This record gives sequence, C-alpha cells and structure tokens, in this order.
Amino acid sequence: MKRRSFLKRSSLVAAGTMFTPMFLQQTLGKNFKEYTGKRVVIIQFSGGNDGLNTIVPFLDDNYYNARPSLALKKAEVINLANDLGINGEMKGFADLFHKGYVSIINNVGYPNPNRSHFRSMDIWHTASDSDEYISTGWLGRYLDSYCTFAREGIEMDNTLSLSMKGNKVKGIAVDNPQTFYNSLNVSQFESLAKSTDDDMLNEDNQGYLYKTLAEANQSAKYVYEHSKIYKSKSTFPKSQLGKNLKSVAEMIQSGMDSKVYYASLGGFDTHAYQKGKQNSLLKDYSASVSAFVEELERTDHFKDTVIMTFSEFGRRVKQNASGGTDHGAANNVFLIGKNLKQPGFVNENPNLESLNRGDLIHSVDFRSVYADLLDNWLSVSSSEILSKKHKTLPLV
Amino acid sequence: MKKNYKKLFHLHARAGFGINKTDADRIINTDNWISPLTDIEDVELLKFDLPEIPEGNMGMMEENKKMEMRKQMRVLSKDINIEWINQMSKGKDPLVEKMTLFWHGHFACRIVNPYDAIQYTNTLRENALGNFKDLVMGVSKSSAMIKYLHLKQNNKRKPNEDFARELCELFTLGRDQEYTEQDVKEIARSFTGWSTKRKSTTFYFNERKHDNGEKEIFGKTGNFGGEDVINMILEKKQCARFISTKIYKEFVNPTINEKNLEEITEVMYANNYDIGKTMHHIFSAKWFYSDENIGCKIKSPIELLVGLKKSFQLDPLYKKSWIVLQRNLDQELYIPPNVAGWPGDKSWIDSSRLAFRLRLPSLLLNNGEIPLAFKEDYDVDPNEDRTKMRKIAKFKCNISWSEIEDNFKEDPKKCTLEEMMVRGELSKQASQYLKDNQYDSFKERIIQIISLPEYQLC
Repeated sequence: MKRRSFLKRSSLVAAGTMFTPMFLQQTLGKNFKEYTGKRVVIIQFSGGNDGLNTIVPFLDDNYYNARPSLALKKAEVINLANDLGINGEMKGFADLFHKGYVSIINNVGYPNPNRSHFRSMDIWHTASDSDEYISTGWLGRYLDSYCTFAREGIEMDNTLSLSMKGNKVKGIAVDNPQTFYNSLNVSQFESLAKSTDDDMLNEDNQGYLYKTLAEANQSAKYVYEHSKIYKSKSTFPKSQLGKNLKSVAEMIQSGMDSKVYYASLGGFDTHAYQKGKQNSLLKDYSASVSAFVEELERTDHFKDTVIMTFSEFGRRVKQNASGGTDHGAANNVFLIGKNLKQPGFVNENPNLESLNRGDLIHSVDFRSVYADLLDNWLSVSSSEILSKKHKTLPLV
Repeated sequence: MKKNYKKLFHLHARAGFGINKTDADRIINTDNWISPLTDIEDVELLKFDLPEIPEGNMGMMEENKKMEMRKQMRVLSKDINIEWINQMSKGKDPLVEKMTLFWHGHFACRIVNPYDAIQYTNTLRENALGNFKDLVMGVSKSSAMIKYLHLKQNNKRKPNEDFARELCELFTLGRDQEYTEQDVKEIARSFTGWSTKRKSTTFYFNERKHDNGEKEIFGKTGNFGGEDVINMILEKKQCARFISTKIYKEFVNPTINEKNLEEITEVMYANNYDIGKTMHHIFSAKWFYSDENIGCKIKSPIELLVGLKKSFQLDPLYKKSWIVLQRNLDQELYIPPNVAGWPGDKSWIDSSRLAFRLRLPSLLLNNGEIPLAFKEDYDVDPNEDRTKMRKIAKFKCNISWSEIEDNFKEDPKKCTLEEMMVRGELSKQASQYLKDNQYDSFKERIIQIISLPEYQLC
C-alpha cells in the first residue's frame, strides 16, 4: 500500500495521537481565489497588562512618586510624543509608532469596572455592560451576521475565546493547522463529514453535530492547504506569540478569506517582581508584531490589515510592597495599521492625580473602539452587533 | 433492541453517567428502577483531607510568601477537582453525582480556596436530592458564595446588591420575573451582615453590619432578614417553575414541552420543593421515555469525560490530565464562566471542539497525547507552564480490555454494542458506515462506535 493511502485509511485504533508527522508536503490546492478585502487581527494580553509601564508618563512626578522602585527611569524609556514614552524593550513597536503605523488610545475602559480577570475579560469579549451577561462574543456576532464559514474567524489556540463565539457561526481555534487537519484526517470522519442526507440537516442536535463536522472538515482542509502555500521570510521570535503571528501572516499571504484572526499572550498578572516579567513579555510582543508588519508589508497585505491589542484591565497606579501592581481599571489600547486616521496619541494622557480607588478613570469606552473597527474598517453595522449605538472615534 | 434495555440505558444516561451491560443485566428485571436512584438515605460526601488552615494574616504577609500560599491553594483546589471527577465516576448514588454537578452549574461559583470548595461541594451534595429551600439556604451561607457575590461587603451603610440580584435573577425566579429593581435593593438590605468567621468557612451573622430597619419586599412590609426573603421567594410558584425549567432542560430535553413542564412545576410546588420527589416523578413519567427525549442532548464535557472514565475505568498516570482535558473542552469544575453558569447545549460545540471531542475516545484509549490549552492561566508564566503541562498531556492509562469486554457483552437479540454505547437512533450515514466497515476485535469495534458524532449525545 502506498504511504498516502495508508495514512488516509489509518484506523482510529492505530491513531492514538494527532501529532503524527505528516509525510505529505505537496501543495494540494492550486486554484485558490485570493481574498482581497479587509481583516482585523486581535492580540489579547491576558492577566491585566500594566499600561503605565508600557506607555510611560516619564515626565510626570506622580508616576515616580507612586512607584518608587517600579517606575522606569528615563533611560529605560523611548520617547514617543506628548510627554509619553514607551518601555525601552519595545524598540520595534516604537519604530512602527514613528512611521505613523500606530494609534495609542489612552484611558480605555467601561463604567463600573470589574477587577476580576474572568469577569472583566468576559465584558471585553462580549462587549456587555458590567452588570450584564451575554453568551456570545462581539466578533462571534459579527461572524453570525456577516460571514458564512467558521474559518472566517481564526483563533491561534486550542480553545475558542468567548469573543469568537456567535450563535450560529463560531470561529475555529487552530493551535497548529496541521494538528487540526490531522485530527479529522481519519477515514471515519471523512466519510461521515461528506454526508448530505436530509436528516443531517435537521435542526436537532444530531443534525447540528453533523453540520458542524462537515464544516470543521472543510475548514481544516482549507486552512491546512493554505498554510503550505506561502512561507514567510521575516525572522519571528521563537516564542508562542511569534510562531502564532508567523502562521497568521502566512495564512493572510496565502490569500485566505478569514476576516478575523485572534492571538493571546498570557502572564501579565504581575503582583510581584513585575519589572523583569513584564519587560520580557513586552519585548516578545514588540518583536513579534514588528516582524508581522514587516512580513505583511513585503507582500502588500499590510494596507488591508489592522491589529488591535487590549488587556482586560490596567493595574493600580501605586506599586505594592513586592515590586508589583494589583488589579486596576482603565488602560491603553493599541491599533496598528497603514493608513490610520489618527496615528500617534489619540487622546489625553492618563491623569495620575484624579483616581478612583487608586485606579485610572476611563474616558473612552472600549466599545467605541470596537464600533469604529466594525463601522469603518469591516464596513458593517456596529449598532446591530453591539446592540447599541456607540460613539465611534475616527481611528481606521 | 428490547425496549426495556433502551429505557434503562436512557434512564441511567440522564440520572447518572451511564451504565454498563453487566449492571444493566442486574437491574433490568427488578421491579423498581427509580427509587434506588432518588431515595437516598445517607449521601456520600466528597472526602478530602485538607491541612489545618494556615495561621497568620494573608494581608500582612510578604508577597513571596503570599504567592507560595496561593500556589499551594491552587494545587489543593486542582486535587479536589480531580477527586470530584473520581467521585462522579465511582459514587454509589449516580443521581446524587449528576444532581450535584447540575447544582454546581445552577449556583455557579468560581472557587480558588480549597476549604471553600469542599464546603460548597458538600453543601450541594447533602441537599442535591433534598429540599430546594435547604439548598438555597446552605449555598447562601457557604463561604464560597459569600465571597463570590460580595456578601461580606454588604453592610447597612453601603449595601452591595450583587448577591440579592443573582439570588432573584439566576438562583430562584429568573430575570425580571415577579421582582423589581426596588425589591433587589430591599433584599440586599435584608442580607446585610451575612458573613463568615475569620479564617473559617463557618457562617457568621454580623449583627453590627445588619440593617434592622423596615423593608418593603414583594409588596409586604416588615423587618425581614435573609431567611425571610428566601421563604418569601419560595412561596412564589414562579420559583418552582424556574427551577423546573432548568431541570427539564438538563434532564429531559433542551427544548421545553409546556405541558410536561407544567406537570413537574406542580409536583415540585405541591411537594414543597422536594427535589427527590420531583426527580422521581420525572423518571417515572411515560413522556420521559418517548423517542423525542432520548439522545436529544449534547453531553457536557464533564458528562463526556466522566462517562468515558466510568465505562473504561480510566485512571491516567498523571491525574492532572483530567484538568487539561476539562480546560480543552471548556468546562472546568469550580471555574464556570460567570455566575450564570455554563450556557450548555449547542454552545459546547464549535468546529475545533467537535474535532477534539470526536478524537477524544481514540486518544484516551490509546495512550494518546492531548493538545494543550492555556489561555486562562492568568497568573502563571506561560512558558514555564507549557513545559510542565506537556508532560501531563500524555494520557497514559492501563486499560483491562478483557474486563471491559466482559462488562459490555452484547446479546445480538436484546442489545447490541451500538445500542449500549449510543442513545437515540443512529443517523443513516452512521449505520451505513458501520455496515461497510466491520471490525472483528472488540477494541476496534467499540472505539469505532464511540467515535461517532452520536456518542456526543445522550
């Protein structure tokens, strides 16, 4: 038996793992239609990134008073504009800023901020009010209303964030296109996925499972085949985020029709010994993102891509007794793109004098940023997806 | 298949985590299937030896000591989680196990502290089939809930409405059902002073923080305390209806049949919220066994995992594999997404989850490797964690196939292997596939069957 047919037929019993190396590297699809529309890439900082040591008010005495040992010294900061600098580990990001590719929105948050990671992340994912529970995500509802295929929203992970779950359409979580493909590349699933029987299209749960299987099978193939078309040329960091953004770049460059990509970086919950930990995470982020932009520019895909970075909350202004910071409220959000409407700092600097329970007070509702991305970048109706009309900032 | 087997397997899929053929043969000819499930005298508690609560005030500790302590707490909580998974698969009373899981989703509570976790879990267990009033009372006085919904911060000078709101909206009446915003405010006042003793899980009523003034709740005026409020809520039939609806969706069908729902609401209300009697009524009802109610539910991840563990006596070398699996499948005990619990049903399934769930049986039964999920580890270094988790992700398990084969011995006339493993009807496509791809070995056959989409239903 030829190796190919052997692999195809391998029974479930022999296939104890889905990490079997694939011997086949031939490009299966040749006639893909390239997607030329716009897309967003979301990068989530999990754990509550300390915005004040990311975008640093390095001329503000209040900053140094609140953080005697944690504050970054002037020499550890790269000057950006408006008396604000950026963590010195983020050189690549600073370069993007100076090229006019970055908008930084300060003081983003929501009313009655919640200081639990889970709850606050929920609020950011669903775009709910802080006393409201919604079981679909804002990007999921976008997929519901404007997309057909699960693969139009791709998350680089093994589980799907709430933000990517719609009622009808849920994005796909792909840690590795090949693993996802392998997991379904078993004759039993292939065969069942092909079913077109009427009873598969039933509205009941059995019908739903078969429908999802068919979709998963298609998506896995589509993503896997595309993932082999283009190999990026830039050097990405070896970190997980680096690898994930490299994969995203390759999917975009291969012409995939996904509209939303999602990646996360965790470890920002820095209650103690913050400086070293946060610096290395930010360094990873900055290097990964600048490689990503460089790569997309090479193939002229950057002009159709906007990257948004957020965290579930910022941190307390005052440092704690262990060289760290506790959970806070308002924080900065970054947008990266080629033709931003307001490159640089979009609004006022954080006010370290007027605080609420020791935390920064928000002046921009995060849903205004979402609304802008939806209305002005993806050209859909934000009031439908966010169920309310939010003031949009002209950003993209 | 003989009709009786079909009914019995259905009953045990809902009132427990499934049953094997040997046990089914033992029960099938007894004249009462239901009372042994619902009438439980002595409930098994979740046993877990915790060390003495450490001395010293956490607030005053140095941060590295605090971190060390948090780490220990996390380790213990994970161990409790695994112990609970074990208990669900081997507990003597399957319905107690199933109902406890159900109540965890209903009284959804995120718990990190192991002492809180044990007390909360055993409150649910003790009352799982008891009286709903005792259950609400017990949960409301549990240290886990008191912390989670900020009852400790609820005092007469500055009431915190968190608990009052969820008590009405999620635990008893349903959103905007027979209560007003003003009721919520007054209910919050009634619960002022509900707290726990310092460094303990014991309930403590702090009189100094309690608001002794008059309150107006549901149109009545009086100096109501928290217990009075719970009594007043339970007098409303809407509460019985709301709880019955949730029970119906979980134990009968995610799509409501109004007539059947009305019936169990009546039973629950007439029996003064006796949960055991209500469940007994459901499992005795003819409609419970009708075709439309069999195999119509999507198994929750915990149901799926515990079902597999029970059927195949899975006991992995690295016990923490159970945690990785829960996380991968989006349901981790003690970590519901929020106070509203797991949304359930179709929301368990997206393309990636389904792909993983279908591969799961073959992975677990072949010492496979589980993909890792990390997103929610907010407080650990992602890279360090990954290395550790990679080891745990190898699901190594010794399975005694001969014993399993004995437990699932088929009888082509009465009950085939497919009929044992799959609830409801196979799709045409699946039957055809099984016909076209026949295996001889028991192991290959059973893996083939439980890798069908139908196995995800119960």
